[in-house]
Amino acid sequence: MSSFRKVQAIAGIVCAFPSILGFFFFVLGPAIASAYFSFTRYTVIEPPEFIGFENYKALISEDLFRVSFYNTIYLTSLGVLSTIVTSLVLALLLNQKLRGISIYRTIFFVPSITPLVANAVIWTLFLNGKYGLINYVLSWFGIKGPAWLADPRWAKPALIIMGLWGIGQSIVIYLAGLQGIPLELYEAAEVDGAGIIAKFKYITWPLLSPTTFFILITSTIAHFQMFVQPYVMTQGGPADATMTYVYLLYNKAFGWFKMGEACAMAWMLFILVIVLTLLQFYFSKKWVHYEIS
Amino acid sequence: MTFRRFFVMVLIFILISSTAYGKTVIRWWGIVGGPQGEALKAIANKYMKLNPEVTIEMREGTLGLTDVAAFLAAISAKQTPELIYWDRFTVAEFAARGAFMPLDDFIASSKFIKTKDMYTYALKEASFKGHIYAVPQDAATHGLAININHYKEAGLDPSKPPKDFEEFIVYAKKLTKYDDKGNIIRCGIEASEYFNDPTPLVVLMKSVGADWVSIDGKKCTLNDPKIVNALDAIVRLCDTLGGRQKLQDFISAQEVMAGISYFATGLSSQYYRGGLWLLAQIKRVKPELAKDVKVFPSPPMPGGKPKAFMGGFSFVIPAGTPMDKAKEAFKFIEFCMSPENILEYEKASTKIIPYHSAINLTKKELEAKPQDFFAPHLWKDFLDLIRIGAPRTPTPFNFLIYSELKRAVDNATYHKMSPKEALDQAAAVIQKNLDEFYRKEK
Repeated sequence: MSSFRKVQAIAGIVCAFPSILGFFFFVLGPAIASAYFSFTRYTVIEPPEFIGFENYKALISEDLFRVSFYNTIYLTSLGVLSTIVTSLVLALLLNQKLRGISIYRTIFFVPSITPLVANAVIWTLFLNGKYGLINYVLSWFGIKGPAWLADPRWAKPALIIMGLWGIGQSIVIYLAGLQGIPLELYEAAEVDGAGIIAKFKYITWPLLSPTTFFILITSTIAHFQMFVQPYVMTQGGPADATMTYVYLLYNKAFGWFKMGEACAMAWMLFILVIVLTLLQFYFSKKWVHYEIS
Repeated sequence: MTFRRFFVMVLIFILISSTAYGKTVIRWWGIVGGPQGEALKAIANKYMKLNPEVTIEMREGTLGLTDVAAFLAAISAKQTPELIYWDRFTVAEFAARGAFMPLDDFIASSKFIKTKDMYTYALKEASFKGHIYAVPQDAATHGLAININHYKEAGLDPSKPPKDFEEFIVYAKKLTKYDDKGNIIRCGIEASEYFNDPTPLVVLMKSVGADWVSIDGKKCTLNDPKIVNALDAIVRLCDTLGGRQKLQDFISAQEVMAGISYFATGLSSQYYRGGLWLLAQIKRVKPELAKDVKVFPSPPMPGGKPKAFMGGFSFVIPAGTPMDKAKEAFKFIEFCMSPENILEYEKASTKIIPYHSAINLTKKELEAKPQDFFAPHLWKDFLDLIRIGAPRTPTPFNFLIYSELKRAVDNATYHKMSPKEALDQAAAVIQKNLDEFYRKEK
C-alpha cells in the first residue's frame, strides 16, 4: 500500500471512529445485553436472575402474546399489500406529464414527513365514528361508516387505512423506478401493438420489481414495529384489537416489570424479521429482474 | 468572534458555574402538569428563596403510572434523583423491589408529618410490609357528581340520588338523550371513566368488601363472585344505554376536548367517581355549571356501603440516595407539608392533603373565607366524602392489576367473554405473577 493510501485509510478510520464507537456502545452493546437479559428474570430494579428459556416458553403459552402476534401479522400482511398497491398506483398517476405535476407530487409526499404522533392525533379525529371525516365522506355515498377505532372488528383496518397516509416515500421510490425505465421499450411495445395493460404487465411491472422488492422488505419491517399508532390512538384497545407486538413489548418492559420477557420478545421479532427477509430474498430470484437485457 | 468576546463569554460561564458551586442540589422528578404542577413549582421556588444554599432542579412528567421508563433508565445508570413525586397507587410495587428508601425514621422525627395524622387509606397505600415508603402529599376525594338541571329535566329528584348501582343504571338510562338515529347526544354517565381505566369497578368491589388480593396478599381474588357481580352490573349499564360501541363512539366524539370531562362541559349528567379536580375543569370551561352540581357518595352495589378511593400523589426518595441528600430532600418534603403551604396548594390545585390536621384547617378556612374557594359548596361536599375513603390495596403488581381489570372490562362489555370468564382470565395472569414474586422472595 502506498503511503498516500495509508494516510487515506487512517483518515477514513479516524473519521468513522466516532460512529464505530457509537455503534459498539449504543447498538451492539445493548443488543448483546438484551440477548443475555432475555434468558433472565429482570425487572431493571433488581439484579437479573438467569432462568434459561423460561421467558420464551412463558411467552409462547401467553394469550396476550398470541393476540399481539396475530394482530401484527394481520396489520403487516394487509398493510404491506395496501402500501405497495396504493403507492404504485399513485406513482403511475404522478408520473404523467401534466402541468403542475411537481405540486401534486409534493402534496402526496408531505404527509410522510409530518411526525407520526401528529398524524396519529389527526387520524383519531378523522376516524371518529360520529364526527370523523372518513364517515362523513362515506355518507355522501349513502354508506354508514363504522365506529372505526371503537369497534374491535374495524380498529385494525382503520390503522391500515391510516398507514396509507404515510406512503409518500414509497411513492417517491416508485417514481424514481418508473423514470429509470427507458422510453424506447414502451415505443417498441407500441409499435408491436401493445396496449396499456400489456405495457404495464410486460415492461413496467418487471422493471419495477427491484423497487417493489425494496419496498416490500422495508415496509414489512416497519409494519412489524408498529408502536406509535396503538400507543397514541387506542392503547391497544378496543378489546386488544390493536395490541401490536411492539406495544406489548413496551408494556412488559416499562409497565409490568418484565424486562426479561420484553428482551425475549425483541429477539423473537428480530429472528422472525431476519427469516422473513431471507425468505423474501430467496423467492425474489423468481420475480425480481435486476437488469435490462 | 474576537478573542476579547470569547474571553468575556468564558468569564461569564465561570461566574455562572461558580454561583452553583457549593450549593446543595436536589433533583426532583415527576412534577405533574396543570394547576397541580404549578402549585408544586411555586412551593419549590419559595423554598429556594428561603434557602438560597439549596437548588431544586425540577423535571416534569407523571411518575408512578406513566413515564416510569425514565426512572428505570436512571436506576440502570445509577443516576436516580433525590426526590420523586409519585402516584401513590404504585408505590408498593416499586418499594417491594427495593427501589425506594423506607422513610419510617424520617417521619418519626418529623415536626409536621405524623402517621397518626394521616388518613388510614393514604398511609396504607404508602406502606408495604410494615414500612412507610412514601409521604402522602395529596388526594382527590371522590363521589357521585350530578347535574341538577339534567335530573330535573329527566323528572328525577336531585335531592334523591340513586341509592345503589342498580338504581344508578335506571337513572343513567333516564338521563341519556339520543338523536333520531339512536346516537347518544348526552350521556347519563361519564362513559370514559368506565373504559379508560377500571376505577368504577374498583369502587363497586370495595363497596361490598371485596378486594383484588387475599389479606396476606398472596392469592388473587379478582374472580371473587362479588367482583363478578360488580362487572356484570357494569356490562348491564353499558347494554342499557345502547351498548359499548355506542358509548365508545360518544366518547371518541368528545375527544376533541382532550383531558376535559364531558360532565364539565354539560355532555354527561352523572360522574360516578367525580373528584375535587372536576372543579378545576368546570372553572376552566363552564364556571356557571358549578351552581347546578351536587355531590353524593358513589352508589354501592345493592347491600353494600358507599366507598371511595382517594387517588393521589406522594413524595418518595429513591433507594441509594446518599443520606445527606436524603435528609435535605426530606427537609423540603416537610416544608411542602407545613401548614403555611397546605392551603395555598389546595386552593391552587383543587386537591386536598390527606391529613386530619390539614382537613380541619381547610374546613376552617372554607368557613371563614368561602370566597377564596371556587364553588365552596362543592368543596364542602367533597371534603365530607373523605370519611368513606378506602385504600387501593398495595401489592407488587398494582399496575398490572389495573391493566388486567381494564382488559376484563373490555372483554365483558364487548361481549367477547362473560364477566366471570373475563375475571378468571385476569385472575390467572395476576396469580401467576404473584406466585413467581413470592417464590422468589422465599
